[in-house]
Amino acid sequence: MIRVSRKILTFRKAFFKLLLTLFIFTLFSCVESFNYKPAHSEGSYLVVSGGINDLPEKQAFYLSRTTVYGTRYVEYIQGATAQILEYGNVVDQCKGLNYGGYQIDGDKIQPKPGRSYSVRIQLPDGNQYESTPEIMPYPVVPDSANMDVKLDLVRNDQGAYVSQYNIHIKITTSLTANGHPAFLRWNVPEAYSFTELSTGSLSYPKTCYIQEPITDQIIRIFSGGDLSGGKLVDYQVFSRSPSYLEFFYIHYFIVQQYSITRSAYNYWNRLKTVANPSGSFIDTPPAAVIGNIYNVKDKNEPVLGYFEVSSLSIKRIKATHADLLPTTVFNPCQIIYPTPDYCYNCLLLPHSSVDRPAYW
Amino acid sequence: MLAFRRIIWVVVLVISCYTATYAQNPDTVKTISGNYIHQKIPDILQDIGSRYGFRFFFRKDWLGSSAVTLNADNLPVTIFLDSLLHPAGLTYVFYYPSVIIIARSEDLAREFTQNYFIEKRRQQDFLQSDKMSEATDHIVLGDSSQIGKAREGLLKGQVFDSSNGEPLPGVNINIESINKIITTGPDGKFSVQLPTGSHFISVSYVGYDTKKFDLALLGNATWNIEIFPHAIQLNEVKITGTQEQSMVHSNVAGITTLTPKDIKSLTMFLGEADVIKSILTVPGVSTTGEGTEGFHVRGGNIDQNLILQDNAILFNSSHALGFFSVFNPDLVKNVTLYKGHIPAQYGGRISSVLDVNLKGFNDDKTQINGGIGLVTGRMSADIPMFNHHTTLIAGGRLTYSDWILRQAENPDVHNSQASFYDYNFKLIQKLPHNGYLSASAYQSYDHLQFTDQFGFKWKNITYGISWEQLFKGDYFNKLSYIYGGQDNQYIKPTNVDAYTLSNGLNYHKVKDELSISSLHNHELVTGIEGILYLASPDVMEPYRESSYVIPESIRRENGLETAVFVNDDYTISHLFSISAGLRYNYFVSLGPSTVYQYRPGEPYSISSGIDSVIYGSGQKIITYGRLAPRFSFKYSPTSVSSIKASYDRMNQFVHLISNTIAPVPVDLWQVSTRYLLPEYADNYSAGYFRNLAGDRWETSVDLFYRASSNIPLYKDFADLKLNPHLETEIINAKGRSYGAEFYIRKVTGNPSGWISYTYSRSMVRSGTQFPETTVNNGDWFPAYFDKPHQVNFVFDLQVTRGSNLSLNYSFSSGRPITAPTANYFYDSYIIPYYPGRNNFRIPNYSRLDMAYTIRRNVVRNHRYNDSVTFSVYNLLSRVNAFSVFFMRTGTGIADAYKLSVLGRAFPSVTYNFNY
Repeated sequence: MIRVSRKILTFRKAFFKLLLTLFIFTLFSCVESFNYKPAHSEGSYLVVSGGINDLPEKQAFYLSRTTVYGTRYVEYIQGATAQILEYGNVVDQCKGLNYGGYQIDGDKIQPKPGRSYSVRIQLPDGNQYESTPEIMPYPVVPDSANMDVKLDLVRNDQGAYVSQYNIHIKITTSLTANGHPAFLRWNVPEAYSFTELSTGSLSYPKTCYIQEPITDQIIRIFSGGDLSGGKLVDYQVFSRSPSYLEFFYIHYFIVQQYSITRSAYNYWNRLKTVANPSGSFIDTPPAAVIGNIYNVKDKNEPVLGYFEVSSLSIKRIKATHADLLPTTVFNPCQIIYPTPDYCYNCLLLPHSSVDRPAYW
Repeated sequence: MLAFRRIIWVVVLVISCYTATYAQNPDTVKTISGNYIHQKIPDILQDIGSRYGFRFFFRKDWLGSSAVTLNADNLPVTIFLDSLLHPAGLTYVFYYPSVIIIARSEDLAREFTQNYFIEKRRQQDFLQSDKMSEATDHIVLGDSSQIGKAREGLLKGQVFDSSNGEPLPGVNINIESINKIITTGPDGKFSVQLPTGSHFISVSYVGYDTKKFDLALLGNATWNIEIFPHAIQLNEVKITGTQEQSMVHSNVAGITTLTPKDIKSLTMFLGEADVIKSILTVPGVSTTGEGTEGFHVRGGNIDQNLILQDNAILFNSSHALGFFSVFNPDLVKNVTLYKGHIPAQYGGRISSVLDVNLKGFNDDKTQINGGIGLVTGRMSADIPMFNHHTTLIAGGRLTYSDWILRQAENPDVHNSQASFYDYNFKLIQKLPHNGYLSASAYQSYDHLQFTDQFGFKWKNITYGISWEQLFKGDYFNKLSYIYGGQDNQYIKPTNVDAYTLSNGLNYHKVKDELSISSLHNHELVTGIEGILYLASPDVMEPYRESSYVIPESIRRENGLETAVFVNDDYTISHLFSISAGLRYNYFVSLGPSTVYQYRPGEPYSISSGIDSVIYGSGQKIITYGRLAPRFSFKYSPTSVSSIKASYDRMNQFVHLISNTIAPVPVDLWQVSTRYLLPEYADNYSAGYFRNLAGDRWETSVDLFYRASSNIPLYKDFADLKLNPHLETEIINAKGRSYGAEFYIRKVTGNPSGWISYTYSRSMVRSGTQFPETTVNNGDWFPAYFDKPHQVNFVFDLQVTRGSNLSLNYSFSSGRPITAPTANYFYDSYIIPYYPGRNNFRIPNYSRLDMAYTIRRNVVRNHRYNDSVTFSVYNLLSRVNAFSVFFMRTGTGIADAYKLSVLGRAFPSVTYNFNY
């Protein structure tokens, strides 16, 4: 009798394991790379990227064209003329830069929240484009921006879940701009310093300041449109894993908080739909995201991009390896063999300069 | 085929004696009384036979299983039989004073031998015995040339297992009329010399159902007998059409019939028998993909299918995002899918009707069914009460997946929740004068929560009462009232903008349907129907105290849909029959609502709005009156082939508003408004049907075409959430679908199964003078569920008496998606550029399933039966794509990724039982 009971118990355990195993099998959907060969592209379209904000500094926006899917090549548009309009009046003639850039001269105009701005562009082929005028929103200054380091469960390259320390940048901010609902967008570029090794010569080792371009592709926006004010408290706007090179000395997270228009928010929200899909049934069907630029003579021409009129507030978070506890950060020049060249000449690091930023 | 011809001859000869027999004072003076409500002709004949001492001979397949309603009050037997048989294309003759032979009308016209009945039957005593009331099959055997000559005949033949066609040795054949028992040999064969005339014969074998025959032997004859294993009833669903005979003989096109054996053989995800999944094996029926709601019929969208459960409308047919259907398989009595011709008593959707009937009155024994699988359990009972005048039916299902989710390592899964339940109650009271009163309740509920990102809750409810009554003069009336509907909730659970968004659509439905079956060769159905749709407001509320979401609600329009209909199935001759109907719909859009006015000649948009009109509760906003003719005809050039064609105009006044990759269960149902126009479609269908090899094989080719209008299409990135002017986001588009279905099925024997190929296209077009409402340059483009090629293969093999193996294979073209053709840079982001809609097809879908079922207690007379089914879904572990999407992961370019919902094999074990 006892033997029978044990058998039953053993059977139950086995059955439980079977149930569990079988069901867990069912829980994993599968995402894998797909060899996509696009249909031919029907021409290329103008793309306007960038805008104007309330900071009294030189700003730029960029003109380019769409390129064939799968290529990294960017077809910049040089030789265009661009004007900034305030209430329909030209207030600045933009200066052409390299890589399709057009600079807004902060000395000539002082954009102010509450005023209307737009852009007028004439391409070398004579086509003329304008953006829909937008009222510059009032800035929303974050109450605070802070950083923490937390153990997260992440999936590694083999598909297994592993624990990993991540840096999280969080912000606390109001959700109103001058008494109106705020529409917010964040970028978090980074900068760090790096001091090269002493070579024993008479010159002191240099310290370089590296401004990292934004590589994160997650669009971070928030709408206060349906809210009765309130605050975002410790709202995560960025996360990354630590690295030796960037955190051994001083590292800055530069939290850029844009106060944007409702229309711009809708545009970013659509970009988010097409740029950060999940692939599941709940996604909104993708489509061409049309912004606020139009061809003056042919309004049916698809024009991509958006001339954003925004207010910008910045918070900087300074971090050193001591702030990354309990993680440990070593000097890469002491643990990597052979010693990288940048350890003796930090200007070899991409985007590096010995000019110390004003905020440092 | 030879046997069939022989029987035809016999019947002809038998009929030839009509005059002579009539002269022998047959029992034509007897009068018949009885009320038969929707009963099958064989059942009625059996009842008449037992009560009045008649014996009937007929071929069962001639009589079919059509339900007949007949009220007789001291009616002469000849008139009674005329009323009963003529509408079915049958007639009868008196063979002996109390023996009646039934035949098809056309066979009566043939020449016959006059002398047959000169030889009188010598078994008159036996004719009067009470054994005849027990006989189940009445057959006539023998060569007509022997009629009147032979006093004895050699009866020989073979006994087979019906499930696998194997001959059975040792079977007892008891010829009770002469008290003789013979046994089949090792090869199942038997041979016996018998006097010509009538014999009562029973065939019995251990583990098999005893089969009884009432045999008229004319001379030497060969007789092959099939007997059935005493098999348990699994928890499969029996799907039948309007008739159980082959597609060749059904009167209208586009009604597909699956037998219980077909369904039993189907392997479903996680081993669950499932109505919707079973229907997906039918040609012309498809789904968007695994893990999606609903089903598509002949190129129609999921909201274009009218789904009825005991006459109650269900807006949502799925649990757990389509992995299970909302129908409890233990409680389903039959399922009919109308995908071609739709009789006029149905309306409200333009694509198809799925009519699910639950179990009805039970005056026999209590039945209990249940089952347990990996994630769900179910139990149901069917209980006669109060001297068998009342029946209580109750059943429920629930899932217990949550605790298993907690064991998962994946944090997303670990923190998710997926649960559902449903229950049915039904109480049926038999009334004194041929009537039934029933009350029913049904509710299904789902909760799906995906980590802290989003959650869905949705439920269906229906409560109904109905009164079925047979009145004098063969008028059968069914009056029903149903309150039902659905409520949905979307949940965003985190952050200061945490909120819930709720919506729903409820209805009151009253329908009165009168069936008149006494008209010569006509089956007339007429009635009225009214549905009052009451839309719950769209309500957004903060989800938790820390949320700053401003509560907001939007009222949606109500609507009243009324209809009057008449439908007549008319058998013109044995060659031609038609089904013609007319349905008139009148729809009223009702307040409360704020209806916006727009500048004439401009597309609806916020900027073109010029005014608004506020309508109070119940105030009429706009009306639509629509006529919907239906017509179908059948031409049967031979007894094994037919040609059918149909035309149906369909109207639809409720629409599923959805702008996601595939519909989700919390999508909004919206009645037609001033701007969201009623959908309508003209459906055409034509097919050729032919049986082969003595009806063992069915084949068909069916063509269809549908032209539809006012199909809701959405502007890019349509904002449907709490939008008080949906018309600014929706385009009333044109649709067309067309295709062909090829089907071949082995109906009997072992193995059995079918293979079908469907070519089906579903296209949409929106071309206007305005770019805002023009999609893909105004050209026709494929709908998101357009899958041109589809193949289904179902194979079932009875391995042993207690086990069977089944295979199910599905193939379909990949569905279209919207894919980019270019990139561009914006800010620091690389954005894919999408030039148009549905311009790329994902890879084809292919899946093979296998199941092996072991039944225990196959020994006869055991009331408790159970079975275990081992099944593997997606046996070949094919990674089928649900979608292809484009996302940048750090390499700089938006790479393509394939999402597969069930990308591996899924073994499962299911235990089923009944008592």
